[in-house]
Amino acid sequence: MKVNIKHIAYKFLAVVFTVYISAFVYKKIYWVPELKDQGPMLFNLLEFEWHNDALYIGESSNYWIAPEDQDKRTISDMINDSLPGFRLSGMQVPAYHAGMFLPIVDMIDPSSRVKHLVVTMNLRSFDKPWILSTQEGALMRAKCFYYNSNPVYNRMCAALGYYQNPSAESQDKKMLEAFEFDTLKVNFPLQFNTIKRWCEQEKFPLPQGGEDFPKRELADHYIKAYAFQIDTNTNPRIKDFDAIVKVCKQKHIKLYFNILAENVEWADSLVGKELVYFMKANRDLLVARYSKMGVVMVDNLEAVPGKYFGEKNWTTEHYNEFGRLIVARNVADSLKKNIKP
Amino acid sequence: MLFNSWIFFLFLPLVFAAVYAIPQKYRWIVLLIASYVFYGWWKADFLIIIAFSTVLDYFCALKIEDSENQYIRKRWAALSLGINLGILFLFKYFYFFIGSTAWMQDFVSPHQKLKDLVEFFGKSLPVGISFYTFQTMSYTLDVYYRRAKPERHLGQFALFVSYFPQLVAGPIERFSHLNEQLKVEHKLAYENIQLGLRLMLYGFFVKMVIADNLSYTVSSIFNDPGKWKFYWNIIGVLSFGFQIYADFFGYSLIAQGVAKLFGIELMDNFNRPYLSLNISEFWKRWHISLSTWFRDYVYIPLGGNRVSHSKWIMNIMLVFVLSGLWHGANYTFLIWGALHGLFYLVERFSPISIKFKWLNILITFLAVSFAWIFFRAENLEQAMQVIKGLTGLLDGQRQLDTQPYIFLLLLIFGILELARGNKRFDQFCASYSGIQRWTLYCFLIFCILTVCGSEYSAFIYFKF
Repeated sequence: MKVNIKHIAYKFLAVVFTVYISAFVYKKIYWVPELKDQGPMLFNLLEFEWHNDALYIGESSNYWIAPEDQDKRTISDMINDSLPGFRLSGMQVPAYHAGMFLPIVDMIDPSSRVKHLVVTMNLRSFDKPWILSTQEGALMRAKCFYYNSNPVYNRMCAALGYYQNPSAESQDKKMLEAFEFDTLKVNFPLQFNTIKRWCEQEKFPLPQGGEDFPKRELADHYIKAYAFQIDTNTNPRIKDFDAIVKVCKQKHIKLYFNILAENVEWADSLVGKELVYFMKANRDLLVARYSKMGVVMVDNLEAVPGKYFGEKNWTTEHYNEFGRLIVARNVADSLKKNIKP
Repeated sequence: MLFNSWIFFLFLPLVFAAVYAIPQKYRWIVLLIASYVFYGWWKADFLIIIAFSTVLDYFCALKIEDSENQYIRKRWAALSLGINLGILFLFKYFYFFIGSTAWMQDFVSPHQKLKDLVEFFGKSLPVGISFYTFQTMSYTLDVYYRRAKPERHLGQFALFVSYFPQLVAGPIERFSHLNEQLKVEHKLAYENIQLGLRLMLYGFFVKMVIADNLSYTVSSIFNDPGKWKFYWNIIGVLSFGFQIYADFFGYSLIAQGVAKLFGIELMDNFNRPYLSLNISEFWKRWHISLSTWFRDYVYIPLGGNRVSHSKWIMNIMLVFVLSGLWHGANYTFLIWGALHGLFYLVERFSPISIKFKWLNILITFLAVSFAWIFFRAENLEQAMQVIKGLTGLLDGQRQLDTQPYIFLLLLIFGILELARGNKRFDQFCASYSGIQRWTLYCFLIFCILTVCGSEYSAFIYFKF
């Protein structure tokens, strides 16, 4: 094969130059408008970090509003109201978890105005149904846009599928296996030590025979959502939150984890004390672990009464105006203690 | 593995280096392993089907060749075709067949195991099954009609069936064209690399910049035709025509380019189909490897045009309906095929002839675009909604937020297609100076990096 090395070198240089120009043009012209759709949290961050003392990073809990609410403000807006002279803005995307927040935290410019960061800590995000969600592929794709590398590179990672993209089939299979084989280990008698067995238990029998099916279904859903024990060595959310702590320390940002309120009342009435035990045990573990690391823990787990939860037929962290106000006040109180006058 | 995936950009240089690093004698082994890895990347289980099909056709062809008795030859050919079609039916049409026949449903419903089996076949569709099944069937038929000598080397034959650049979405190669090339030694040639990379670059531009950018407009319209102002429905339908062309044409270019790196020439699958003057010409320019397959293995054996008028009409309709059903088990594909058959016949018997070339092109394009509605729609109801949307009957009021630059890119693609004429892109480039060529390449790279669709999406034809 006869080749002219000089010609090939010219061609190679032309390609490198084109890639360089493309990266420059993309960043200057297309990147920010594209982020609006593809990476909304980073889109917000680029603007907010220069005008805010604090950021509130979360998921749908921040902006969900009940149809009957008079006060339609988000939790972050309510926090802002309690802190005159202090600016905080909320950034939220539904279904995001700590794994998605991490690159955003990493992107905060250390020279920006942000000195406080509130991150929602959703108990359910530590559990298998969320970790093995079929949405994980879509989230990982969105995450490509958040990496702290050249935007063109990030874009090509998304376009060429360079991200974890587990199939729905494999996620479902792993989840069912977890329900069947992951055992719950406690120091009190627990009749059903796997999710599967617990869900198979007869519930809400009706006098005429059979079961109250809607109630049973909801109870089973509560079991699947909260009957788990966080293994700090293997749980991916623990790794994500640990990494967030590390990044914030490096950037000298005061970090707050807002443990979101769950409907503990309903968990108790639908399933029982055993389930509440797991919710509290996981909360205690998280509080102890991250308090030690210097994070301000805002414990809202039991703060919101059942009647303030917006959706009655599912486990969500969606609160009506009164619920949002309780969460906001607790966060604001924690912030107040740490804001230098 | 998708061509437009990061893993392919690692896979290809590795295979390329491995193939040229070893003597010709053993290259088929590397290519065969590479092809199976390429295919198994989706789901390794489906390799069993392709391997089974390979072994079956290999032995049947040998039996056909070794016998002089016409009856025995026919029996082996029928066995090969029957099993191949049976596998295709099981994975592609069985679920649809059960679902659309009441008595079969009544039969299956009480039996849980049978129900599970139907569900299994309904959910599992091996990628590209129609492509490689048709390729192997053409081999068996070529041997049966004594148009080709069978391959006696099983490994070499397995490579013909599974050669990775064209395995999952064609072109559906003929044995005599591909197998001979696979057996010949190809020296590492700068020219092949140059031509191959040119085709691949243009292919990636066409797929990632044109097709992927159009998908948002198309999906928005087809998912909810009643939402948009009627002219958006028209734009959506026309966009699908360009999307599917760019998607499939892009795949074919990349396949040709990849094969060229190894010195293999794959057949052209497209020849600027939207410039066709009539439907008959459209089918000579669109998915050429499939239309010639149906011509050679269905239409001509049925008698071609040397039969009575009424039988000829029936044959034409049959071929078009079958080519529709080849794409999938759905009434929408059936109607798509039938519409093309109908257009073909109307054209043939129409007493009107239009003098203006541009008007013929426009009419053909509009007819093809109308038929695409059925191809793209998930069901008949959706197709009818889109058609209603075109007429403004749905009273949608919303504007679609499609980025206008997408239509500029489409215009650039159109100009490039017009400029290249009947030449393939690599030959077209060769007719320009180095600076002109490289300006174009840099522009294509720039577009891919900055404005390609950011969604990681498979080629539309993979599901067939």
